[in-house]
Amino acid sequence: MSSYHPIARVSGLALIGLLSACHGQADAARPAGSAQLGAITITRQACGSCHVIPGIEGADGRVGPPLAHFASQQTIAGKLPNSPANLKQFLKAPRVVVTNGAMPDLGLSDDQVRDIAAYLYALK
Amino acid sequence: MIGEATRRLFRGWLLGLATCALIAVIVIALILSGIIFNTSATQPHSKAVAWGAHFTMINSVARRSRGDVPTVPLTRETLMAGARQYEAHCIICHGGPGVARAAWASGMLPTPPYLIDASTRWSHAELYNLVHDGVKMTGMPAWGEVESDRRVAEVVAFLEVMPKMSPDQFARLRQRIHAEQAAQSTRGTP
Repeated sequence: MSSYHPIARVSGLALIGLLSACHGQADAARPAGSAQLGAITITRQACGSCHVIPGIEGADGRVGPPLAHFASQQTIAGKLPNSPANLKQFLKAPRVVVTNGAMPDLGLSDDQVRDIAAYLYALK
Repeated sequence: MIGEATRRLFRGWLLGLATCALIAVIVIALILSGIIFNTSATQPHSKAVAWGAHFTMINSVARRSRGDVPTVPLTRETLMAGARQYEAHCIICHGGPGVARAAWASGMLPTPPYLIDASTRWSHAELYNLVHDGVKMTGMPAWGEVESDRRVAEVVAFLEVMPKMSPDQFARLRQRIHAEQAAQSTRGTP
């Protein structure tokens, strides 16, 4: 970064600012869940025994896909486009979305799904 | 002959030691009285405590798993025996490929992990000792107290094969075990 011309640096930062402003608008469309409660649900449901999840203690599983940068992940389980609605569909019935998948149906409530989504979509 | 400076240094050192001791007593009293440590399983440990407890367990298991442990040959019979035990004792807390734990397992703290990658996290001896000796304060029983060493070795053999099974194969295996059990119980009734 230090090797860039000052003007390039400033315009780069401006671009980042602009992009994050657009990002902020998209937030309204997301389900209203609590990322903090999501972290607790993720810990309790032992998601980390199969997935790498930043910010969750001991979440270093190597069974399913790592969930770092989930917000910019393009698909969910390689099957559905990444959207809050599709994430809910997958979390509610993973073995319907991925037939014969190793991810079990955890019996999550709507609130738990919303909270998990809030946590995952904060992983930019 | 002790100089004045040395005496002052010694006094300061004693005072510091007394302060540390007083703080330690207060902290221990706060923990023992239940004021600053909540033993309920409603809130997860703080990250530092969770990390510390887990790290201690990993090191403790590794340290005590340096010797040889019983191993059974990987035959159809031993794997079926291990699978039967996994079905009877393990799956309810640990789940399996495509199979969730019992809902109440998420009420446990620490919560029991899924074991699909257990054989990449732990060596054979470590897995054997984890099953045989259990883990304090986690709810994991010492199965060696109630099962023979051979039984423990069989379930470890199954754990090591589990990641190589597809969820469908795992489901078929469970169906077979359930059918066996149903056949046995019908034979058992007069």
